[in-house]
Amino acid sequence: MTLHQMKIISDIINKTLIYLILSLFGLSMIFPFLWMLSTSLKDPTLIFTSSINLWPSPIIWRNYLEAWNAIPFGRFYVNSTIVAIAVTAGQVVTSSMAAYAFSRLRFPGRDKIFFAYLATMMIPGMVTLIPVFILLKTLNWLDTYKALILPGIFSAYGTFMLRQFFMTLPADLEDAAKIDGCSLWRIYWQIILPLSKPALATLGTFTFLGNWQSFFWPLIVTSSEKMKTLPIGLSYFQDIYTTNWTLLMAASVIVLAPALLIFILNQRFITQGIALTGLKG
Amino acid sequence: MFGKFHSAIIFAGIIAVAAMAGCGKKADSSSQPANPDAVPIRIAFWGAVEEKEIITKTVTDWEKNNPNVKIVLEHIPSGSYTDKVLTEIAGGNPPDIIFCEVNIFVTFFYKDALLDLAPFLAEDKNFDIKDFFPEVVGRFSRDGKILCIPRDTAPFACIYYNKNIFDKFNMPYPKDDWDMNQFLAVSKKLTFDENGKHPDEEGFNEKKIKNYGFWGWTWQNFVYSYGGRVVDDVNKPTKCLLGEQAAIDGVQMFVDLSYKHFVSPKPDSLTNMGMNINQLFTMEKLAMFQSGIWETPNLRKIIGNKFAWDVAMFPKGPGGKRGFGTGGSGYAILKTCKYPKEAWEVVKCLAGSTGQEMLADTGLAQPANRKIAEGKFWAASPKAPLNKKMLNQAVQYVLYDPFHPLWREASDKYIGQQMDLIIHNNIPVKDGLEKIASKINAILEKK
Amino acid sequence: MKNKLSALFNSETFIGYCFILPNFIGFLLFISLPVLASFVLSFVSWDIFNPPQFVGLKNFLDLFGFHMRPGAAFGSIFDYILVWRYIVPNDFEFWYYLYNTTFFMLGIPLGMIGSLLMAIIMNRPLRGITFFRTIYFLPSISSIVAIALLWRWIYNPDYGLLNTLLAYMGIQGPAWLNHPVWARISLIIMGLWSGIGGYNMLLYLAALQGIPQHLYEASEIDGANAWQKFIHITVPMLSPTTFFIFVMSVIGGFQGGFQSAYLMTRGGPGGATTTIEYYIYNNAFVWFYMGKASALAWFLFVIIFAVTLFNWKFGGKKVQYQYM
Repeated sequence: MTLHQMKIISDIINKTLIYLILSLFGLSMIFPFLWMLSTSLKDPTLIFTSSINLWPSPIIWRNYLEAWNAIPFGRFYVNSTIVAIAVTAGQVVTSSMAAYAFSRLRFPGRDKIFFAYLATMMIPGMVTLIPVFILLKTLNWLDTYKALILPGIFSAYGTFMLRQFFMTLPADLEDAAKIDGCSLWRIYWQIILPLSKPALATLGTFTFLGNWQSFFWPLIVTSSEKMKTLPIGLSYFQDIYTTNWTLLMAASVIVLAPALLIFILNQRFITQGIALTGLKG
Repeated sequence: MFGKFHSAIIFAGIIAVAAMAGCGKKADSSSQPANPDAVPIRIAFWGAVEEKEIITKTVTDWEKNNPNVKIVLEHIPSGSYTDKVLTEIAGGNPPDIIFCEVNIFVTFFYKDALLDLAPFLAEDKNFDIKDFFPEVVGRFSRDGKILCIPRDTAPFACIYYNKNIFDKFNMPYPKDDWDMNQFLAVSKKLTFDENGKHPDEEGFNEKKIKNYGFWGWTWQNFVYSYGGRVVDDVNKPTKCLLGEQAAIDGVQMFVDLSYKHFVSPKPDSLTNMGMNINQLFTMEKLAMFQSGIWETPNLRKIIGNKFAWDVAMFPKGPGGKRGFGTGGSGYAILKTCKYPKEAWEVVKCLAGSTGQEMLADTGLAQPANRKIAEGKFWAASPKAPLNKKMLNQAVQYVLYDPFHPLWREASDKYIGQQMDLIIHNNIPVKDGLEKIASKINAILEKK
Repeated sequence: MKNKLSALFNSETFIGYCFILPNFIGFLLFISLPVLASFVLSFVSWDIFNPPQFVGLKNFLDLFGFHMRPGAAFGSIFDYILVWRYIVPNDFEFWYYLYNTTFFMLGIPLGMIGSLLMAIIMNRPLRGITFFRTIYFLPSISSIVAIALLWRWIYNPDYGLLNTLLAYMGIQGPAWLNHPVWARISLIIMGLWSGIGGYNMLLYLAALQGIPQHLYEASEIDGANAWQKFIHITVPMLSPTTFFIFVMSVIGGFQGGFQSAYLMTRGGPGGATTTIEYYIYNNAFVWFYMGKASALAWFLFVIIFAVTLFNWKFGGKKVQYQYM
């Protein structure tokens, strides 16, 4: 048995072990999701049975139709999508700009201002809720897209995250560009940003998902059915006393689908890989 | 200059700006041609899907016949109802009509936030407050004022039971006038371990219980059944009576059900969320459970035709006494409402027969309106549970939470958590209750 | 003149300010103003319906008030040393919940290590790895009700998965969610489970992708094994991300813990799984003490600020950046 053969065998054992562990543990990860799917397709009387039965029989596709018609799903979908996309775009742009400044530019008060940003994340949001509400009412933005989108565009989290990432990019990146006479804006737009695709994609995903699932904030700033978002719609299936399991799960699956899609898209962005080779030579 | 990536961001930005500029108008929920003289009345209401439909329909139908009022419906999920209404009040954007739950009512009363409806009732010949259960009206009245029109009442007096299990063991169905001893005997007969042995039988293994006889969350009912009370006078509480022997006996019985008689599963948490309990009941692992009538729509759905079920009244104590905690809600007009006369008309519509009858039919809530409660949509309704009409008798025994501005806080802080420990058998009942009583008395004396 | 203006507009300082401007406007409008308002609120007593009344430092001082434990008295000098045996804080709930909150944060280092390991595994170019990444991310987007259902079954003392497994090994499992200490541990475990394939892992994944391959290749030539590569290349290169995750986890840990605790244990037993967030919420929206709620939030802020500052100064030194 040559060294080479032994290496191949140990490789295979390695890979199998990893697949095994991942799968075992992964079963628990996928279980709530499978339960959601299964309950959404079941007859209500078959949800709680003595043995845990994941396969629905008979399969009731009608639950999805009922759930879709029970609440203004279409409108909520439009709202959630517009708001999530807008906030994501806004956050990615403003956070990356600010992060660029905080990490690679020098100006007086830079670190102090940054720490002030950080400090704002340390106040529990609950006590600023009413002041923000009053502010929005004064601006007459209540129950409009402005209230849903604009307060979300500023993000200390995003700024901090991107700052960390930008600081890992090599210093000599910009030197070459500066020698060529590039303005700082162009460096940002054409060098830093494209190199940061994984970080930007990750921030974008986080922001989109966070916004997609955000319940309390849209609840407080919207009143009319025309402006509400999907998580609020989901809560319609659940009263303080009763839960309409089949419809709630069907609705939850409908709401979850785009989130899953965004995640998968994000994966494609990330795995495009960015080995920073060739910079030194 | 602009790669795919850059374009994506720019495109998203354009959507955002367009959305905020163009579609930022305030939404208009009424589809009628706008009547410029119409008075706007905003109702903040809760309700899951069916309830929401019923209320929306009732209101829009009424609006057609009353073009001088434009109703704006604001739906708020019940779990966050108070949060949102409070934020709106604090932010200067209060609704006109709110749904007021019986205990939150006390807080609103002490903040002087509600409009007195007695003058409207005195003038209005079409609406008779006597149509409603006097106990519920009593809760919403104070110092000669009436501040809420009752909507529904929900005594915690329902013992849901599985008829199939009773049949299997040849047990007669519970009667509404049964007492604790009979109740305990029945529970024991319906509890068995994996060898089919009942508690008190030789060889009963309390660690391997397969089926339970009973589960309930309201320790208050037990206190009342044993003749105890939470406070001396619900309307003018001065002393907490939870440390008295009667209350101790009641809570002791409640705890014993799990730890001495083994007829109840150990509590997971002090909650009536019912997720586990509905599960156990529909899986036929639980013969009886105590709750309120609101479980009905859910049970109808998930039990279907699997087995027959019904409700019986919560048992009397060994001394023949009884009492029930209760929920419920009513319609109130906030003092900040600019058009009280029109708001009153809307309240009458909400409290009117059509809407109430439809709600009663869903089984979700017992109407506070006596006539409807005794009518064909409730008492005589053929839908399960058939015996819900017993709740009409139960209303006379209801005891509300004490009427005191600090009660909510005291109860959350001292009763809730201590009871948790008592119910989990972490501390003896007597010690726990005496501790609660002393803390509550300290608060009652403060005022 | 034109040159001076041009120099001004092109100066790094000016451009720096321009870059942070969009963010800064949002910061000023939507964050600073409300934060200032809430700061002012912490010095008043306001029940929402009536106008606020100025009370000065009362809200803060009340947190530190205490009284003697019933039946206790200071006897000798030694009693003063063991002072906590004799006094009870007036606002007992606050300190108890603060304790709970800090207890829950014990899971943070474990979670970070777990996410890092997961990211390393998920970073391998194995076939189907994207499938696994998606599966492991599912708990972050699944319905929390479904997750609670699963874990309540796992933790059920009578017929749950854990206690059944333990019984096979001859161990009597604890009453998990019904026991004050085990309930907290249960929630920590549940949090670790849902977080291991979640956001932190994605961050690590993105950061791992940014580590230049040639560093690993060079070390292999020097004969480094997997462990050495991990310690001397991976960990340092990931330190900015680690720092970020840690700081954010601490900040978030102090402020959270409400939702899952509420669904699993309703904050029990006896308040053992209730965190400060819930207490602030109760004070503001249930008991109508807006002023006190603001004071609580600001006191919490001071604690978080101090801890973060410590992290920044202490941990910041250990972080290796390429740039500065």
